[in-house]
Amino acid sequence: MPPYRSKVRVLDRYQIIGFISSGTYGRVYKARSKLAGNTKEFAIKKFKPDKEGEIIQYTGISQSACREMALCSELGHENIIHLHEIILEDKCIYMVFEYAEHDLLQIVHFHSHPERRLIPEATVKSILWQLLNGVSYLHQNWVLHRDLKPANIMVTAAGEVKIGDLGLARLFWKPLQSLYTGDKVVVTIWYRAPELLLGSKHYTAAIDLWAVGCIFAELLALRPIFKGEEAKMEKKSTVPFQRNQMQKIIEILGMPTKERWPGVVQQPEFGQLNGFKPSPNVLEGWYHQIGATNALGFQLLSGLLNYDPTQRLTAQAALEHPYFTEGAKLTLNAFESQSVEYPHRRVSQEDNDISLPGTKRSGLPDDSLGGSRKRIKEG
Amino acid sequence: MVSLLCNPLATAEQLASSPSLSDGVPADLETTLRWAGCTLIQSAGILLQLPQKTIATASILFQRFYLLSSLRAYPLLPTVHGALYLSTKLTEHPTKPRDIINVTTYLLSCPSPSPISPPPSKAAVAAVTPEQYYVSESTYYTARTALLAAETQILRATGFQTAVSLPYTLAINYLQALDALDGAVVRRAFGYLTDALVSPGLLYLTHQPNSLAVAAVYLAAREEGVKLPGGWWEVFDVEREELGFLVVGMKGVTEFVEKQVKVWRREGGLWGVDELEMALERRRVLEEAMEE
Repeated sequence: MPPYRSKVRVLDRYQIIGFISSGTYGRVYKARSKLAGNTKEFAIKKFKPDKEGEIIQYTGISQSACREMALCSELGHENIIHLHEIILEDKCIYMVFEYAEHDLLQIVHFHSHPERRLIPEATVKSILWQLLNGVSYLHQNWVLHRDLKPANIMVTAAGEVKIGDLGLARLFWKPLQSLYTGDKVVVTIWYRAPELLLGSKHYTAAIDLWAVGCIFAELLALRPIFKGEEAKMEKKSTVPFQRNQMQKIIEILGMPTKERWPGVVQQPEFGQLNGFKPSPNVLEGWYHQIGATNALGFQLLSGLLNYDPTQRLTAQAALEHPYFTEGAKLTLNAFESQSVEYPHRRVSQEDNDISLPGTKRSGLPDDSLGGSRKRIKEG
Repeated sequence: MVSLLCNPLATAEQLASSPSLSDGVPADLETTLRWAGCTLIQSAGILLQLPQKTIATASILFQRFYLLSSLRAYPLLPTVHGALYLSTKLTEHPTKPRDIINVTTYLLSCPSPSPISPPPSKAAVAAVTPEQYYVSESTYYTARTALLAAETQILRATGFQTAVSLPYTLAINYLQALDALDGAVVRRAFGYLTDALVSPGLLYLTHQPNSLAVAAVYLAAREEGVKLPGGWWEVFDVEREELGFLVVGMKGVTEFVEKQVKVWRREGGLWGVDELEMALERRRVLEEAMEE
């Protein structure tokens, strides 16, 4: 069998403008179409191959590329990043997405540096509504995102929210197999739901809503609400209990008691809770302290950050919350009432050779220039 | 919208003239090769302890691939490997190429209970020695390279449409809805659904999962003596005519497999390019001899 030769080469179709960011999955580049008349911009995600052992060798399409490929080609919604095309070159897969100028990480950073300026309520409201609208669409289609965080939520120059990075997303409509199997750790730790921290094996769409709650809080506070330190895996086989993350949650929400969360006693790591000092729920105090005043906003936030996954608001219920219907009018352009102009995404002119192998082992300095996407240490 | 309940189906033109047929592979041989591929996928999947959803997904990807590509250009065995490898990732049961290759080598080099390598006798199975299915490093690397290339080919040919909807859970849902959920009926229905994966009529490429589920439930309930309300299939959007067609198709699989096992014993082992070319050459010579 002759080796596969792609008829389409990514560099024949796209002009690479620069390098945007890199992550565990691979690298992302900003590009323009070479087709005459097409002035649109694109983000091209180049997947790095799955590693096997110590020797880098091609081991096929990575599982996260498989997931993203299978889901993105079936999904279509104004608040989900649109997959334009997939190009499969010799041993390398490129997914071409619509380009979004901003992401929530960058927007939060802009508002907190150099001095703290709250994001206007209309903008928060619009972003949150659109985010929930996208999550609701995913859930209606039995897709769990599993990795919602500010860096994965894009906003276009026209103020439209686009949920991206479905590399961890999973179908959950026929859970004959526990969703827990496969990759054990899901969702960046600061946005990880308490049931996941407590080792739940039957997690549900509610984990995405917890993450949305954390993101809502972050848009208001301009810093992560539960900024725990990740306990590293000591052995490959065991997932450590994320004590510090649980501590951060308990400091604000108080103890997850049986009264607040009847199912808590069935959580595999329930015993770990004995090691925490009982403390009250001070979310309301926290809400006022960060300068938020909207009572309905607080109600919505506490509905999203409900300990009990079965009582936590669903995406659909959250969309219907009075927070969105009362007060400032909801717009679908998050920037409509904004006078400020957000800085454009930083695009690096170095490292922008898409044809180079994009692994850390290639000698390219990873993340060195992806400043706008990198979590900047506070202080 | 993610289609949970439907699959892309083959068009009439695609079914009437397959790429293999246009490429000079007789229709009956293509049927046999498709059967062999799916049977190997099923047996290998069982040995790899993969769930049926992974196995069925691999089978359907395999069948879709040969709807779009020729068996002469893309030989059978790497496609079986590639389809399995891809489906293990798609269904969250990632499996190493090494394991897949080991298992198919085992199945193809010694007698086993699989229809793909039926034992001449019970004693023959017991007499198998590990040397018979040892995979040397060089064989492994060749097979692995071909497996990865096949994975790419499958993605290219199917246009990255890797989402596969299966009828198994639907069958349970339907039985539940009909208040007839019963272990024996479910097992039998699942059996029919698995049979249908190897059907010569490419049932999974021509019918949607709801129809397949209804047909399997119909047969299973009838054979287990469970009575269902008249015309129940209409509730699940299946017409009598389609149901009748599928029932015949599913019932026919047993006989079809028995025949294929014999054909495969005679013609067997057409897993690579060379073997297939030789088989085609043999046929050509035979035909010429017949004409003279």
